[in-house]
Amino acid sequence: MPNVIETHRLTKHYGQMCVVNSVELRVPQGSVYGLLGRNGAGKSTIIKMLLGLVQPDYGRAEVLSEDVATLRPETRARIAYLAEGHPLYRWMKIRDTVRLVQSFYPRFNALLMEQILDHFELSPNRKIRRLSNGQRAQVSLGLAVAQEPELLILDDPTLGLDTVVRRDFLESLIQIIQRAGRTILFSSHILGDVERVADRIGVLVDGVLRVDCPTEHFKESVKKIILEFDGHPAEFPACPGLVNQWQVGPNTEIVVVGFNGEHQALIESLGPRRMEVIELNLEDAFIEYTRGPKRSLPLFVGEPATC
Amino acid sequence: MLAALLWKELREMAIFTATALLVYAYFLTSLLIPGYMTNAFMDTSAVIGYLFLSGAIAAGFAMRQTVNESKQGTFQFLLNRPVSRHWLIGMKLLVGAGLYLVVAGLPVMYYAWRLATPGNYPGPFAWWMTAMAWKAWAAGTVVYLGAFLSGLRPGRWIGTRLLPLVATGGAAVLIALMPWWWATGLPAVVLLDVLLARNIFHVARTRDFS
Repeated sequence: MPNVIETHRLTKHYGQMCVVNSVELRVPQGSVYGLLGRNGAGKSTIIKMLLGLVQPDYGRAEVLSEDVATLRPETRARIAYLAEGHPLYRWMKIRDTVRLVQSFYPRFNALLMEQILDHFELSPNRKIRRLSNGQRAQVSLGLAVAQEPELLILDDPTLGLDTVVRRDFLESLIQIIQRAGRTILFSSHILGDVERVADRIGVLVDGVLRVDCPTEHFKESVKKIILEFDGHPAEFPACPGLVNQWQVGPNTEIVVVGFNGEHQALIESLGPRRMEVIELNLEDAFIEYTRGPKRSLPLFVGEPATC
Repeated sequence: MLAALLWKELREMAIFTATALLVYAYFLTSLLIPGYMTNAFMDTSAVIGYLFLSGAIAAGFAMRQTVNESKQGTFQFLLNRPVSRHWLIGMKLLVGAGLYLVVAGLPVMYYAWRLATPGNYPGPFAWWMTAMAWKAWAAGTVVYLGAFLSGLRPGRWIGTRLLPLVATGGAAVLIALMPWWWATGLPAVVLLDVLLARNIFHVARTRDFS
């Protein structure tokens, strides 16, 4: 599968702070890629660099096989972008916004836009400033989808939406995904959302892409192990794959990536009374992984990437 | 596409334009004395008043076009559209500068018409009698572009960001009062306008819209 997005050592500093550090991102065609990270991890900056809104200090990015620094308008017409917070002109009516956006895209599907507005029960005569956050998100999603893009980039699309609206938004997104051949890159810090729609994830920690693999693989790779001791809990020795450890009463709890025979042997050498391996959902796996020490083992499946 | 952009820019400026016209109308009422008119536009203090007013309106137009987009985050909505950034910014400049020239030119035209109407002014009317006002009008374009640059470029407001606006404001006063204007003032206006427009396009191309 060719890559729709490729970055090479993409780097960005704000002042002295490195917010994106040598990121090698590959988004295969047809995939739904969830870009995860805590606040300030660099998700939005990467997305903006992919769209040419932010200039990288070093490295480069290619979208639809074209360097973003020289992205032609024809290529840009194949990309739809939902910016964080769904910025729209507040003085416009929905109808005006649709007309404005439509004028840029020869392939704009006006009928689909009408159907989406109808689905969300939004009258085209409504003023944007009178819409709730959720409704603005729905209008933005409709505008993006009606462009019939090959690549849809969404920057934290569900931020600020209540649970019901968020669920509705995601259902719509899933319907869009089912339209063949479309690639979606979206950032989020709501892990439940990502788990529902993304087939591949990338995890950014302090601007560094630490994980790039299928969602299921990440969940299966990160495990929490509780070791119960009779007396004082033993400290788990440093080893490849150890993300974090802490002592809770008589227990030592460790988080490891890629639990294997070496980990098993080290555990046995400590002689715990009991051992319990806990499978984590995406949210727990993400939390345990990102709050661990920075040296946590990178996870890349597919094309190798240096980090 | 360009028509849609033009409509959007014009519609966005509608309230500012209407307000500017009202302000000019109020300004004119102070110059138009019923029954007896002097040529106020030959009086330096009235022209300076017109220049300051026009400078403020030009700066207001430019700020409306730039700061408003930044504050609402709509630069992100606009700049990822499939059209070159030059066109998007160029359309803004065209609409903003065009509106300024029309709106600021109207009161001078109206005043000239009143002067030229028999019975209003005790003497024959000639266009050179409004020349000082037209010089101030032209100098206003420099303020417009300086304010546009201030609104567009990143930086601290109380610092380098306001610098282009402050500098062009000072330059506009000097330009309007320059002697041998056609040989000095006009080339200065053209040169500054070209340099500022180039700088605006450069900033639009290279700055981060984050």
